[in-house]
Parts: sequence; C-alpha cells; structure tokens
Amino acid sequence: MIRAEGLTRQVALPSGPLTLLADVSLCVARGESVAIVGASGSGKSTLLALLAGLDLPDAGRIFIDGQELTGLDEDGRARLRAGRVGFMFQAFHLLPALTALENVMLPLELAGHGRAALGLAHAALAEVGLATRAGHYPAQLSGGEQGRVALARAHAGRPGLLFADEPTGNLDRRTATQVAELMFRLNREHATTLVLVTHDEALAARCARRLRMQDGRLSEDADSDSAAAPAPTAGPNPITESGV
Amino acid sequence: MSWTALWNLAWRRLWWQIRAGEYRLLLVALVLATASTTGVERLARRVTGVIESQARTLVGADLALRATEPIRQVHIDTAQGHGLATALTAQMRTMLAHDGRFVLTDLKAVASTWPLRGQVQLQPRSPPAAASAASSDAAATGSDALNRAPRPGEVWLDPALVERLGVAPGERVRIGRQDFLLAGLIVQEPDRGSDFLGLAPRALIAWDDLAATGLIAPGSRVQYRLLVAGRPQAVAAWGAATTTDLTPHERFIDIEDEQGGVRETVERARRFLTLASLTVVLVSGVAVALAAERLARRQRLHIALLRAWGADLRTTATLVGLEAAWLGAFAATLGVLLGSAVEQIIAWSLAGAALGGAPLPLTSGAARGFAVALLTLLAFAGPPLLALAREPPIRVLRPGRTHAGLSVHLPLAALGLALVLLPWEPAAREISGWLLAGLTGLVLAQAVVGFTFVHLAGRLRVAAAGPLRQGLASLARRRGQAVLQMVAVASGLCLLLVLTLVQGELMAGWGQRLAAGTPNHFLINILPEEAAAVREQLLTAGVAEVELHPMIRGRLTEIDGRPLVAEQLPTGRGRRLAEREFNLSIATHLQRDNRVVAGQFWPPTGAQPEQFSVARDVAEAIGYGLGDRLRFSVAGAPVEATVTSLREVQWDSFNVNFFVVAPPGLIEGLPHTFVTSFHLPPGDGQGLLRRLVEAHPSVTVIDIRAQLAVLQGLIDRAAQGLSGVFALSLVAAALVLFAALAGSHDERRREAALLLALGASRARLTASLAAEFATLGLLSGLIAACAAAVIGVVLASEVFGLTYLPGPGLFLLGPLLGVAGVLAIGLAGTRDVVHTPPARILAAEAG
Repeated sequence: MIRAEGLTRQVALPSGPLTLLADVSLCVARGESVAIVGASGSGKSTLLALLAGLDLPDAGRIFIDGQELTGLDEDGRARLRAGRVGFMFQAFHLLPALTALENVMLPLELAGHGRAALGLAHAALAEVGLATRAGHYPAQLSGGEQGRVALARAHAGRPGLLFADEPTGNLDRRTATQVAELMFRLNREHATTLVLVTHDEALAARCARRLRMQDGRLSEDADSDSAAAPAPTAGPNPITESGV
Repeated sequence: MSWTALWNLAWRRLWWQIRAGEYRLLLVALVLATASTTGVERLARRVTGVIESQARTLVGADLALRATEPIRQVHIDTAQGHGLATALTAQMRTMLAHDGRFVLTDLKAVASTWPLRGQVQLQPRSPPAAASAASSDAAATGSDALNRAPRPGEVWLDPALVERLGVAPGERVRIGRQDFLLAGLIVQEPDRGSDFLGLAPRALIAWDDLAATGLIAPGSRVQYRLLVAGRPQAVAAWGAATTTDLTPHERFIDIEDEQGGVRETVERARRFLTLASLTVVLVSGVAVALAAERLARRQRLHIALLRAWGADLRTTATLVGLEAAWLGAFAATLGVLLGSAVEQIIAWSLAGAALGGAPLPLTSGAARGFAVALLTLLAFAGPPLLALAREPPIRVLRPGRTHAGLSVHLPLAALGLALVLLPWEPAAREISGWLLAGLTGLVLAQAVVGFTFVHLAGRLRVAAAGPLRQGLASLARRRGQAVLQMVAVASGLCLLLVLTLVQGELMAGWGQRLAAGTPNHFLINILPEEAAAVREQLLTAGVAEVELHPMIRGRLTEIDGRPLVAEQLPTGRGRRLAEREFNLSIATHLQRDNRVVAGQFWPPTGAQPEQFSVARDVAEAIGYGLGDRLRFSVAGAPVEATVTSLREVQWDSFNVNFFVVAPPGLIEGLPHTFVTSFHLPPGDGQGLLRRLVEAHPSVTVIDIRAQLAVLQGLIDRAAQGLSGVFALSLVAAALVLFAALAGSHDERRREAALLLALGASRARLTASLAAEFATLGLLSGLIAACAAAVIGVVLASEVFGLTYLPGPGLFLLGPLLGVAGVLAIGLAGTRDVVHTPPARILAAEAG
C-alpha cells in the first residue's frame, strides 16, 4: 500500500543544513496499523507528511498503491490523496467558522460525495459519539470533542489510508483512550490502513507495528507484534530498517 | 470535481463563513468602499452637471445647437416633441447705414420666442444724455428688462452704434435692403456669451425680417443657433437623441466655446471635484485592500486543508475565485445602492443651496464602484491565496507555523490598482499623476520611517516602563504588521488631510480671488488716438490700475511653413480656435496672472522683435509649441515670428489676456484698437461710464457682473459638492483605520487574553493597548501631515494655479487626528477583550 525508498529531508539553517530524515525506507501493508515513535524533533511528523504527500523529500521515492507520489506535482499529489487519504492533525485544525457537521462535510463534498455528504457526515459524527453536537462550533467543544470531530472528518469518507499526527497528544488520558478506541475500531471494521505518529507508548503498543525514529533514521521497534498485523503485501523492500 | 459540485461547494463555504462572521470586515469594507466611491462619483457628476448647466445659461438657453447652415427642421421638431421651448437665432457681420454713414455691426436676428433664459435689458426712453450711458447698473438706471424679441420692423442697437451713426430713437436705420425703426438701446443681452473681445457692437432684429434684408446669400458667413429650454430630463434626453444626428456643420455649444475665464472656472471646479473623488476612491481602496489582505491570511488554513484533502490547484482557485466574485458582486451591489441613496440625501440636504440638477440614473457611478470593490479584492486577496494554493500544505498545517509575513506583492498590487482605478483621461491625468506620485513617495517614506521606528521601539522598550514598555514591545514584535498599519493609517490620514486642505484653504483661496477686485467691466474698441484720454479718465475716476492693451485681429495661417487646416486638427476645441480670428497684442512685460512654463519671456527693453509668447492651452489645442514659426494674416498682411515662450494664463483672473503676444516692434504698425478691463465697485460706475461713452462714442462697454455672479454661484456649488464629498471621505477614512487595526486584531486579542490570564489588571491592559495605539496614531499622523503638506503645495501650484503655504494647523491636525482616530477605533475594537473572561477568548482562538 505504501512504499518509501531512501527518503531524505534536510532544512537549511544559518548554522548549516539540518538532516530531518536520512535515507529512510519503509513498507506498510493494506489494513496494517503502524506507529512511528521517537523523541521530539526526531523527524516523525516530517516522515508522516511525506508519506501523505503533503510535502516532498529532497531525495527518495514514495509509492501509494503502486503509484509514485514523488513523481507528481502538487496537483497530482492532491488528486492522489483525494478521497483516498484521511489525515488527523496534531492541532486538529478544525475550521472555527464551521460547525462540527460542516467541518466533517467539507472534505466529503470536495471528494464529490454531493448530497450524500450530509448523511455521511452525520454518520461519522454518530460513530465518534457526537451526534448531538453536530451544530456546535469548535470553540463550543472541549479538546476531546474537537479531537473526535477531527477523527470523524478524517475518516468520514472511508479513506483506505488514515494518517494521524499525535492524535492524542492534546488530550487527557480518558479522552485519549476514547479517540484511540475509535481509531482502532475503524481500522478493524473498515480495514483502514493506519499510520500514526505518537509519543504515547501505550497508544503505539496497540499498533501491529512500531517503528522508531532516531536522529532521522528509522528502525523496527523490537516490540513490534508483526503477528498481530494483517499479512503485509508483497514489496521489494519489506524490511523497514533503513541506514542501520 | 464537476462544475456543479464546485458551484454548490463554493456557495456553501461562502454561506458558512458569512454566517460565522468571517467575512464581516471585508463585507463592510467592500460595501462602504463601493458606497463612498459611487456616492462621490455621482455627487461629482451631479455638481459638474449643475455647474455646466449654469455656465450654459451664459448662452441664454439650457442647451444650444449651432450650425453654419440653417437649422434643420427635424431638430426643432424633436425638441418640441420633448416638450422643450425653442428659439432660433442667426448672427452675421454686416453694415448699418443711416444718413450716409456706415458702421460695422454684429447683426443678430432672433425668433419671437427669444430669449429663453435671462432677459434683455434696454435703456428706458429717456433724455439722450442718459441714453448714451452704454452700460452700468441696469437696475439703478431703471433700464427696461424685457422677455421678448424686437417686433418685426424694429431694430435694437448697442448705444455705441447710435453715437457713431448719429441716429436717434424713432429714426430709421438701413440693414441690407430693408429699413428698420430704431426702437431700443441694448444694455445687456442674455446670450452674448463671454467671448466678446472681438465683437462689433450689436444690432438685434426679428427673425421674420431676416429674409427681407437680402443678407442671406450663398457664401454669406452666418451662424445659426437653435436655443432650447425646459425640464432638465427633457433637455438631456433631447441632447442625447440629437447628438447622433448631427451633420459636420452642426454641433452643440459647450463650455469650450466660452471665453477663457468661464471655461477655466468650470475646469477648476471640475478639478476640485475630481481630486476630491479620487482621494475617496484611493482611501476606499486602501480599506478594501487591508480587509482583503486580512482575509487572505485567515484563509490560509482553509486552503491548506482543501489541498490536504486532495483539491487540485484548479479546484482551489475556482472555489476561492467563485466565492470572492460572489462576495464582491453582492457587496458592490449593496454599496452602489447605499452610495446612490447617500448621494441623494446629500443632494437633498444641499437643495436649499440650489444644488438640484437632473436625477442621475441608478447606474451612474456604479462602474467605478464595482471596479474598486472587485479589482481591489482581486489584487490584494488573489495573489497570496494563489501562492498558498501552490505551496505544500504542510507548511501551514504543521504545528507552530507562524503566519506568513508581508509579501512584496502588496505595494505592487497597490500601484497596479491605482493605475487602473485612477482616471487617466486628459482632464484628470495631471491630478491622478501628482496624487499617485505623492502617494508612492509617501508609502516609501512611511516604510522607511516605519521600519526605523519599529526597530527603535524594540530598543526603547528596555528603557520604558509599565504599559508603555508593553505597548512598544507589542509594536516591535509585529514589525511587518505594524509597518503595514502605519503605512495604511498614514495614507488614509494623508488623503483626508489633503481633502481638508482642498476643501478649506485652496477652495477659499479660489473663491476669494474671484470676489476681491476681479475686473467686472471691459472697454473694447478704444481707438489709438483715444487711448490716452480713456486712461486718464479712468485714473481720474479712481480706478487703481489701468493697463490698455493693443489688440490686433489676425488669422493663424501657417505653422512652420505648413498651412493650418482646421479640419485636420484632432480636437473640437482646436478646430474651433483655428477657425476664428486670434487677438494678438504687444507686451513689454509678463502679466501677473501669466506664468512662463517653457522657454523665456523677453526682457522689458531691447527685445528682439521677431518672437511670440503664446498661451499654452491654446498652443496645445492647435498643436504648436516652442520653436515653431507662426504666420498670421492681419488685415491681409503676413506677420511671422518664432514662439520663444509658452505661458500658463490664469484666464479666470478676468484681466485682459491674449493667446499670442509679441514684443514691441513686430506688429505696432498694423491696424489695432485698445482694450482694458477694470473693477468698478457697485454703485460707483454710472457717472464714469456715461462720461466715457459721451467722450468716446466708439468705445463699447461690456459689463460682466452678471457673468461673474454666475461664476460665483458655480464656485459655491463646487464648494457644496466638496463638503458632501468630505463627509463621505470621513467614513472611508474611519474604515481604513478600522481595517488597518483589524489586521492584527486576532493576535492582539490572544495576547491580551494571555496577559489577563497571567494576572495583568484590566487597567494595565487598557493602558498598554492605548500606549500602542497612541504611538501608532501619533507617528502615522505626523508622517501624514508632512506628506499632505507636500502634496498640498504641489497640487496648489501645479494643478490649481494657487499659492498655498502649509500652516502649523496642519501639523497639529495630523497627529491629533491620528492619535484620536487610532485610539478610538483601536480601543473600541479590543474592548471585548478587556471585558470578556480570557478563557473564552483562548478557547475560541484554540478552536
């Protein structure tokens, strides 16, 4: 489903270039749940953005469903994402001017769901337990509720691939558990491929695979429970280690 | 994504955001900008219309058609079909005869319905001594004001003709083949026009007698006129209908036909109004620009999310474009309606001062209003949004990303917009150019001063204490934003100050100049041998300064050896000027109301004789300039010389002025008369004028007091129009302040809430905000005052031909307006922060 080869990403700083990712390769199978863990600044979020096609690497290639993402321009990547990729941002990024329902509807409309968008959005909100809060604005929702709306929005269009950047980072333990429950339920019930970045070891432990980022390099976590994951799809580079 | 889906999504997004108040500021800015632009444009048009129609009363009608062939019946029929009153006249130069004497006259035959506007004043039948006083205060002498034309068989004559022919009322005068009974002596005729310097004394007969004189023959030079009068709408409708049906021999008489003074007064009034409306357009543009720029910043997240969800560039651009177009069109429509209503209210409120005029169609001024709204929106919101749509969305979505700083497109967009929005037709080009140059300089200066100051503020805050320190720190932190605010606020204030100057000091200077001592009488046809005696008589009577100018009539025949062909000239004014005779004169020195704009005027003595100094406006209309050799035909004799200087003539000084003057030695020997103008205080003139005409029968006295009254009225209308414009510009300027401060409102709210949460007292918070706003206002006001002073001086001298020296008032008013305006609007905008529990603000911001 996702294959990345030799990803490198650097940023120019006055003190010289800073390497965020150094020759990272990985493969994620359909329906798999993968957690990327690591210290702050280790390059986790950068990797996630690259995998989702929201940013471009300085070197390396990324394939989604066999189609090379890195060979496409900004528009091409956008089209590849459309309706196929859901993204849950660390800051949630709910649009303050829109109600919870409208926030969920917007990507659905964009994906061409038309009149069905309303029903799908309601259903998605109901799934995360917010059916009664559909008409509320983000400012009227608690942090946990905002996180659930963000999850409903990311998932409402039934994307095959869901990226989540610190999905529980801004939440208290109880709410974080609720959101995590929801994510994994969706992963199970809809066979959604889930790639998440987190600091939360407990959350990471619930994923079938755990990858660790350290100084821009990626390694398979020793505790990875490959058996818990669905069988990986065939790929030329099933080993996720890179540069080690 | 299909078009329908895009269309629906754009609607929905627009509605969601309007409902949430996201577009509130932009909507208000757009509506008010369109309203003020439309209102001002309409007001300027209305006032210009009123001014022009007032000036047209000098031709004795609401509208007049002139032709070199008899007026076609179709024009008369359509005018009457529109319910208009009509009168025909015909004018030609011919000889009067009485008892073996012959005198040249400008004969005018008028229909029985003449005069349509104004009255003809005749001397009462009284002793001959009184009758010969050609002109004076008509009411004081008890002259007969008549609303009718001479009856068939009658002739009314200028008193000068009576003297020269030696004819007495009741006797007969021969014109062509027909004898007429002298039945009246003309004091004033309503449609003499203002170009009278070249006129021979007038003879008036009835239209029906014209044919019997036998003067109308193939080849005779006759000027026919159709005068019409009636309801303004009907006049306008007839004018519009007839314009498309004119032959090359027919045209409407307009201000261009009038003598320089009238034309220039109308032109100056137009300039005042143009300048005023331009300032409002620019101020409104700044307000919309600021609101659009703010919207673009707030839309960053929206667009990044759209891109993250898979919207391609076309989809994103279409969505944003559709929304902007709908929003712009909706706001502009509302604005046009509001602007029209406001203009109507202003016109009504000024109606007591006779600012009526024909109602304007609803669409009048709408185009400029729409252009301001849509183009400004496009120019300021478009580029940043599109740039955003092109960059990887993660740059916005990644946590901790700050908003983009100021982009270089802002000044470019402003410059481009100003170029598009300012009118560049010849009449307004000069004003637009100076205004644009002034504002560009202002923006550059402000940016430099602003950056320097904000940099200094950052350092000063270390030394400052309490709220001032916080205020300065706040300014220093928002460096780009603070400079943008300063530039915007100062631009708005500067335009407002310029308008204050224009409306106040420049306008007053103009009005006073016409009022104080403007010549109100002309003496023409003074024979050379009478010149010294006339001068003596005027000086003895207490006229302070008497300058008699020799006047030689000549036709311009060649420019640089090429024959002048009137038909080939590009402008109507040029053609008309080329067709008629010029008045040439001799001058030893430059008149006070003349200014050399190119070349050099000759010295008072020892000037090389073969040179001309020419009026610039006439030279431009006909197409000659410095270094060209002009050839005139004066009474059949050629006169040739080179143009060595161009003069800007202040025609509305109403002094005698000439298109062409030569140094002594070139044209002295040619046949000439003298002409002079002087100011006669009310009530003083009767005795003097009577003695003058008795002693010098050939001299014609022209009383232009009625004309001056019309012009004074016209200046008053322009002043009223300006006060209306001024009221609208205040709204626009307040909007700029508001929009400028709203740009950093979100950030300010967040910071203030944080400070409150950290334990700052409300008083301290208010004081800190006040310190920031007052500093911003003070500096903007100072910069604005300096810029307004420079723009005022340049506009006064280059555009209005006036002298203006900035006083200390301006430098007080600028900072005062700046501090008061920014403080009031700034504190009002952040009032809710101070009075809302900080948690709510922070929660809302987090959402």
